Amino acid sequence: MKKRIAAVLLSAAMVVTTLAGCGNSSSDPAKKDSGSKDAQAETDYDVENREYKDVKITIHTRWDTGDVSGPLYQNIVEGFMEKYPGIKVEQINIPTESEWLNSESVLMSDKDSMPNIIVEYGGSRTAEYVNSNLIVNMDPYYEQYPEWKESFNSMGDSLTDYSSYGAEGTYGVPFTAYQVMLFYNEDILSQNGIDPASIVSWDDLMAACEKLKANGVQPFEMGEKDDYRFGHLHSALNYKTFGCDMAEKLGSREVSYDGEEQTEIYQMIIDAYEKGYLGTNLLGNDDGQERALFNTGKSAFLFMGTWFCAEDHTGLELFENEKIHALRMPYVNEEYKLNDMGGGNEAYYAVDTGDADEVAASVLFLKYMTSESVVKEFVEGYPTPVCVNVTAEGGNYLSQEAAEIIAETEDVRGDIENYDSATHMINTVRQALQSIAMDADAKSVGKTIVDTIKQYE
Amino acid sequence: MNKKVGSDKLKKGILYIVAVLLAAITFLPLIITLLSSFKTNEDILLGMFSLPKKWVFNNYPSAVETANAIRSIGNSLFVAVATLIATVIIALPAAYVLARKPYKYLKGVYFLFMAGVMVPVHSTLVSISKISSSFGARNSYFFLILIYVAFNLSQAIFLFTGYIGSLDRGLDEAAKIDGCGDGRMLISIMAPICKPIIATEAILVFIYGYSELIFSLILISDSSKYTVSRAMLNFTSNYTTSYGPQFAFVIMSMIPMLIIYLLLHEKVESGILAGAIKG
Amino acid sequence: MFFSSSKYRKTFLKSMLFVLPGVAITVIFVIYPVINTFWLSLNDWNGVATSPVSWVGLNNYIKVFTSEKFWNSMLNAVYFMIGGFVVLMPVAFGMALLVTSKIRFTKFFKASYLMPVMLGTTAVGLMWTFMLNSDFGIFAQFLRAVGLGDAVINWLATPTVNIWCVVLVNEWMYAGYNMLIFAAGIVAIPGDVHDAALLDGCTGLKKVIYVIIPLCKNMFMVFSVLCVTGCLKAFDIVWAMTNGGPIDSSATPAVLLYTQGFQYKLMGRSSAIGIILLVLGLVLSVLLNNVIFKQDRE
Repeated sequence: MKKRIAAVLLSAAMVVTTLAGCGNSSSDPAKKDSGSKDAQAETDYDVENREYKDVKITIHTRWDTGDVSGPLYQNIVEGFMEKYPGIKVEQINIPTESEWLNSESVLMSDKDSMPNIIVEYGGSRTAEYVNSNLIVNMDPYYEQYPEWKESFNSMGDSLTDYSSYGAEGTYGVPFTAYQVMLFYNEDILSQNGIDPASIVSWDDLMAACEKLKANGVQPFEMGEKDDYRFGHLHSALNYKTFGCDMAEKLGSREVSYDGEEQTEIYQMIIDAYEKGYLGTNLLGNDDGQERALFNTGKSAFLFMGTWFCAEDHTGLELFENEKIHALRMPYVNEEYKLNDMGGGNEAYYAVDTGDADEVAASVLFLKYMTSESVVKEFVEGYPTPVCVNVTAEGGNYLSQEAAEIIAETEDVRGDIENYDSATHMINTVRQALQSIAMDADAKSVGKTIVDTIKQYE
Repeated sequence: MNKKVGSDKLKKGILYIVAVLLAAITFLPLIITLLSSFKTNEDILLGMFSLPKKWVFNNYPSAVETANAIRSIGNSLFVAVATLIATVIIALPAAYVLARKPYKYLKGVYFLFMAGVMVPVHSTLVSISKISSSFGARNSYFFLILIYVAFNLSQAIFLFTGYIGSLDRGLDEAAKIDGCGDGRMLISIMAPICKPIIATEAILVFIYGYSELIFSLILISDSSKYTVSRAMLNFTSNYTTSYGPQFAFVIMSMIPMLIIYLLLHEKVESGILAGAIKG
Repeated sequence: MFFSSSKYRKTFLKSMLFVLPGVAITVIFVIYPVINTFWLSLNDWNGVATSPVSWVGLNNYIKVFTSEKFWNSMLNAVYFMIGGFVVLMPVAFGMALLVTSKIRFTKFFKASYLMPVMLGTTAVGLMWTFMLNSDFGIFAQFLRAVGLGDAVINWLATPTVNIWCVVLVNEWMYAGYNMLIFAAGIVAIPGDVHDAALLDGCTGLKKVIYVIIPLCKNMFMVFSVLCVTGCLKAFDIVWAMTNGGPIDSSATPAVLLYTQGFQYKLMGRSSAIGIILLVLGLVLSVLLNNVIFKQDRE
């Protein structure tokens, strides 16, 4: 008897799951499609002139209350809620990358739990949401407010354009931007008779490294425990050797990850690694330690995105005496001197939760966030490049140097792995590059990547 | 005689040496962490063995300020205590029945609970997130505590059943003859006897509840309800490159645990004593 | 029949009442998600709500069983188990003997041994990662001080070495926890058994081997099952110390389950690993229960 009851319960549970599963697989998208069509027909894109009553939106971010930018983001949220009292903005802030990833994945797996706004770095992860019709297309809103669209510069385009993934339209609102640069310690270079102005090509840089190393000075202290470090080096070297087009070529697999071109790039990293230029404890240090070592004069160079300029450097002598400076990332092929790794850093995406009020409120929030006065205030507190055209005063000396370099840049791309249609590429390539720090040769790096691609097909 | 005393002393001496050595291994990393929490970044990077060159005390205020430490610690304590009480109340009767009753269906029930020990948490995340959304239970401590209980129940029942199984049956036979029903037997006989294992489990559940991260991460988004792990996570993020305050937060997160542990520890001791006296 | 049938039914129903709340909670929050996971393991899904879920049968299992990463993670789980039985069990049992022995300050010792488990995995992982740093950590500093600077390697970045570091930190953290389990077993030994042993001249090591260990068999059983299942599921400490890297070299199956699911977005494959872990854990604990500890059940 008991057994039978248990069996019935169990099978009932099974049926429920299966049904739920079917719902996920077939009926939901259909429902959603018709739903959004209806919504479109009656949607009023004039989000400014809409009545909001007790609308609650949730924003899932990586904002860090302990970071310099933390209070500035809080200001934005508070300012918005003051201006639009009918809308309440709830935040889920998870600064740590892996936990943020985890949390976003879980919340996005179910319609009921989706946040209204998410922050992402573009690329195939976001493309997957776009292709699942979960991200609000901003085009009709930009039509409604042409001046809003015009306020953006071109840096953030890579974060909002998903045509290479087969999606028409403009998705998300780009906010911060970056460019990967070479920072140097003026004191160390002058002590070793190196003129920073002479470092324009990769060969110049390697020559400088050789000199430093011979004098017992460590050129770089990369924190490859965070595997994005070699990932960024690989992307930047690609653009500096073959130009920014390499991103699309590699993404469409026109160029193979184990081909001649890429092997050449791996070999450049390997050569520098084998001579000990890149670091003394590559797999032991993370990017935080990397910066800490550079900031305290333990290494001559730092290869990093411009967010480095905006970090809190109070109390550090090197910064107070303005001994740290920025250089453009050296070129490998002079033709691509002004091609760089960079562009939009983060963009905010409004999620189509199916609730018209929430979507309108989310778009309104993004519009407020990227309005000139708000961005200006943000940048004055946190001097980082942004995707919105503003002329901000202030900022520290280093961010001004960086801004001058960015102004001359001709073409930029982000992480090269993100131009591939497979979501896993960013992990796959970074992990394979990490094996360089474990003495892998260039051939095996390429082979690892190609083998992994096969495994996930 | 003399010889025996000597060898006894020697034996005891060895025991003391081993005991102290083990304690030293336990304490050393903590002492180093404590010292590091008073150091500047550069000082930490120079090496961890040394005393701070310059004692830095503002690591602590900076941790309190940015992480809202006090409230998050309070939240975690509440969740942990509630989980602990609920787990014991639910697990003990079940374990008693499982250990003492002969019914066939109980084997299946026991297997069900044991299967629970084996379930990897991450493969349940998506489902549990869905359940919580459909109950509208995001940001609900009640729901969070239920989940904590669910994932502690298996272990609790496992430990309790094992313990009750190892007890002499004569005791409950005697009580039964005295006309003691299951309910009274549980409250007035089993609960006191099981004190040591309850204390053990209570500590384990308490630790779990206090420091759990994954579920609180997914189910609690209201920052005023953050638990201590959440708050610590927000603090030791990718972009915080100063280590001193991180160590300070680690130490701070441990302080309430240690205080409560010292208090609870007395209970463990007396529980074990009670168990021993009964023997 | 000693009991009348109505009385029997009453106690029977009462027994059900006692287990019901636990069963209900377990079914809703543990068993139902597992069934869902099982269903998902037979499908491909990228984890996005509106994306299609497509039936692939046993394909995910085939992919898992033919992947090198999975077998490497299983090997790491085996290291965890070896560490558990070779290091953790003797140390924890020894601690339990110490804190129940007649030496003084047992309260203090017990409190200190148990303390690491109170600290939380994240804090412990963070702490030991710093200790093990090959530049400024205490081990590197110590080795350099005694002239063994060459022995300093990047412990957490060298395959096999890194997983053993994690295993040992895990034992450091959980020795006190398991001590509690053994200690509860030791104090449950009736006093007259101790008296009888004393009369027979059975003391010291002899007593431990012939009296205490056999009488604590239940607790060894408890330890074994918790250890085996814990090792299969090991996640937090690995994640806190190495994130499973470099290149998944220190990943345990649970870490792999996580990365496949939430980083690679292969929910089906991740679910398949979950089900494999579950089945393996059940099989192992049933084996432990019925083969190794069989005589004890009689």
